[in-house]
Amino acid sequence: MRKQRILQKSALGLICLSIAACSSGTGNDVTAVGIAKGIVGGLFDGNKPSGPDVNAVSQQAAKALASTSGQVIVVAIPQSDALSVMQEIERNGPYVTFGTATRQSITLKNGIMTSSRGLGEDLMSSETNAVQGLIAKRATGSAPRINRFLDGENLTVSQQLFCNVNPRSQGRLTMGVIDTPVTKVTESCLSDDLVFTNTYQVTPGGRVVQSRQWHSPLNDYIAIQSLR
Amino acid sequence: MIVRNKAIMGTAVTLIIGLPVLGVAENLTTSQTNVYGNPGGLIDMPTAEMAPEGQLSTTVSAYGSGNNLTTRTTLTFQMLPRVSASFRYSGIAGLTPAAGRPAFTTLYDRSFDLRYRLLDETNWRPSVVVGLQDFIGTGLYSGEYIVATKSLGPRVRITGGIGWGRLGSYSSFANTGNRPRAFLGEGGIPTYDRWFRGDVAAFGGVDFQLTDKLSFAAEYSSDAYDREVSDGVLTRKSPWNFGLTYKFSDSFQASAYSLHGDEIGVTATLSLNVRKPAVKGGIESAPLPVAPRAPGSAADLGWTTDQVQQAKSINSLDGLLERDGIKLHGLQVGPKNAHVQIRNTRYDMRPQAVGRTARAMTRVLPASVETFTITQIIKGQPTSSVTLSRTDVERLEHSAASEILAASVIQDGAVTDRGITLMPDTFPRFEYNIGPYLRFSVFDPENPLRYAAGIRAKGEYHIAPGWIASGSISQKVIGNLDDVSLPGPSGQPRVRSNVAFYNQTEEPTIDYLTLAKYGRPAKSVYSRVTVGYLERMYAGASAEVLWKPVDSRLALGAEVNYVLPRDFDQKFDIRTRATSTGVIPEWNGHLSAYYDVGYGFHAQLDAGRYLAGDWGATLSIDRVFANGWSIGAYATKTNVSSATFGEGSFDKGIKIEIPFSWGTGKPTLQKSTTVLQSLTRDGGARLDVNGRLYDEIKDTHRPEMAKTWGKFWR
Repeated sequence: MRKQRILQKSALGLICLSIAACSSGTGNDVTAVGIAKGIVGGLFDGNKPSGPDVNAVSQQAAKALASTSGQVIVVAIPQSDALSVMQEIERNGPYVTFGTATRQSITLKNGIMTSSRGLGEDLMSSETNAVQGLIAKRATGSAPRINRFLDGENLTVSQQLFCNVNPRSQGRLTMGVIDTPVTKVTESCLSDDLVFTNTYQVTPGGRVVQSRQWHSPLNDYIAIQSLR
Repeated sequence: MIVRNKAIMGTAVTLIIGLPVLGVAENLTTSQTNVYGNPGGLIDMPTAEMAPEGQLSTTVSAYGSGNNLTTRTTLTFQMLPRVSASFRYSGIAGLTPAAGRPAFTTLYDRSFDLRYRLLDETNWRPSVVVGLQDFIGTGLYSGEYIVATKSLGPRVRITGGIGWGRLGSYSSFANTGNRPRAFLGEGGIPTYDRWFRGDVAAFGGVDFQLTDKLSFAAEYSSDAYDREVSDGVLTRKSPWNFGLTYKFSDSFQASAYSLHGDEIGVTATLSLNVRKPAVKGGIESAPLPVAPRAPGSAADLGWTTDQVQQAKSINSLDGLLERDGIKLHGLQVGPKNAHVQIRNTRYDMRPQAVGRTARAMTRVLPASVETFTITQIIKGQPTSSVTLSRTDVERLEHSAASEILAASVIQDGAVTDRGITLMPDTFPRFEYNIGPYLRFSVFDPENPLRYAAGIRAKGEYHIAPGWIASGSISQKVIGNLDDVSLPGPSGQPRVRSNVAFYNQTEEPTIDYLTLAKYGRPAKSVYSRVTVGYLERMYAGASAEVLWKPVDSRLALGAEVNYVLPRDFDQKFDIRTRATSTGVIPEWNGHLSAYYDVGYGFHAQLDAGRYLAGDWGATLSIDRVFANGWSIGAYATKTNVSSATFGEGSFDKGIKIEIPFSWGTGKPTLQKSTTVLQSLTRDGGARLDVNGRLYDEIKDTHRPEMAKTWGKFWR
């Protein structure tokens, strides 16, 4: 536990580092609460009185993992200091929608966020097939992407983006039932009025198990960690 | 549950930083306004700057004090990127009344400005604007100008221009003919005979952005303030004005300035932008996702003979919709298709109600049901029906909303209305609400603000499809609306000008008490008959018919009313139709045409007989935004002469509709409607009956729904 805390406090903030710390700290007795605490600690300084209630979120994660056989993710929105556990609530082809009890949701397609609801400035839908192909293969390349939003008049705006995908460092991610080598892949996207870089941790099988993805000017980046 | 906390925590999940790049260079826009409330960085002089499109600002400026205090309150709206319009209410103390005008201590005056940008700025060319200042009516501030502004880098803007009228009154260098001084009619008419005539003078200035928040302006004024100087309100020592502006936020800034080396003045500007809501796209609870069917499950028709399962499905649907503020009105479920009628109580963006209903249907209806029809019910009548294939709903959930729109069939609700079983709680039902009310009159020449506030209870009893009994009772608690003085005698019966008498009672009043029948006599046709106490001042009967095909941008309507004036205490009595200036006619009515022009404009023309028996027409032009904002102006001209009508010459006004969802981000059907009317006169007055058809149904028809169809998947 001490090692874990030191790593948290070092505030490197890299999810993967804190996860590694988490798993080694709890040894073979991996509990969901411990897992969630590790993630939470990496995203927010647990000692800060104004931070999100780490224990509450950890317990939610434990409950979610115990109560469902579906996927469970932890979602962090650092911009608003928001942290939540989301459970798989529906699956439509390759799209998996995760939701909270307070009716916010995020939809992932192969780990890439394609839409959200209830977060504000929500991503309505996206075309991510081309970039997803590169990310899953951990290949270098360029591909188009479309993100759709509603503007201030509730009219649909299609953001045409051009993205460069690059594999970066390799590492290992150990996380509850997940224990896998991973490749860090970045996706740098550009449009007329927007630049962002998403980061994914991708398994050899092409699954995104952890990511940090651009959402909107209101919410900035959203970090997503698979718990199962 | 999402844990939210205000404290900002840095978290470098990766070391690569993403940031939004600033938008493309703004084409000489500014959120600053001058003392006339026009967009611009100078003080008393105009510039060729414009505000961002959709900007609505209120500017209050004042200089002098006590018996030479001048205030100007201006509402300016940037209706298009190149066009801005302003309405101003000024109070000038210390002026001497012109010959033949009534006496005053402070002259309250209303004025309108219009500005049009002829040329946008380029690298080498300045932006050029032509403007009309105070171009309607008495013309106290009347002036016209052509002005150019060029930015030199991001911090400096230089302006030069020539002006007529007030703006040509100091050190003029040319003359373009005779500028008349007499009013046209009784004021209130565009003063086209003066425009760009008379002396011409040059003005100019520079605006320097000192920091992000603070700017400095210096200008050379071509306004001699002739009348103020001759009446002793102002001493003009210099043509130079200087000002400092501090921007506290995007919505508030304040300036201090020196005027003509004699006066110090201050200005405060409150701004909002109708295209910038609390949250872009709104923020609401996430919808339930589509529940796709298992492959092959659609063949199972076992449920069609299972009454228990059917009842369960309907119950579940009712529950899911209720949770989202949608009432299940009636339905018809067959082996392959389902038709549900809904009453939307929450979503101002109607596609959202339809989209949520479709998703709820995927979750609870048996798998063999392939076709969904969703009909919106307004006033007990079906308006529009959206028919979708369930396969498309499943397939397109994560695609662009335009795809589900292309796959939808939108039909007239009257065509699809058959075989429906109404839900047991649909009729009869009673709805009510109790709340405060505020009624006010602003910018009157006699008094800047009058109001009445109190408490009001409203109820609606829905007896059977289309039959609605409704009533409203108010009790005034405080107010001074009753001290409006009666205008002098005119050649018309007093149909509205005695409104003050209706504000005098201290007892509860019946605002309206009516029985209405709404109907769908034929495809594309809507009808309404209302009888009872129709509004505060009139009782009687009102009948209306509207033709509006579900996919049409054009609608045509006709309304005929039989009216009797109500007693001033607004209880059950009727008073005599005879007034001191004539007899109120029993019959009035209009033919109306409504048209969605496109490009964000909506036009309405009503022609017919008005309350006082005068014949004429009202033209209303509104700048409408898909999010529900609407800002427009109307004018009514009838066969009453300017002299008979009185001050203002004819009825005109400004109408502003604000959707509450814009301010809160949460979906709601509530909106606020404010009409800034010219003086309440008898000419061009209309009956104010509730439930006029066009406004009730328009939003459920295809042209409106298609605009915000993106909300279908919200």
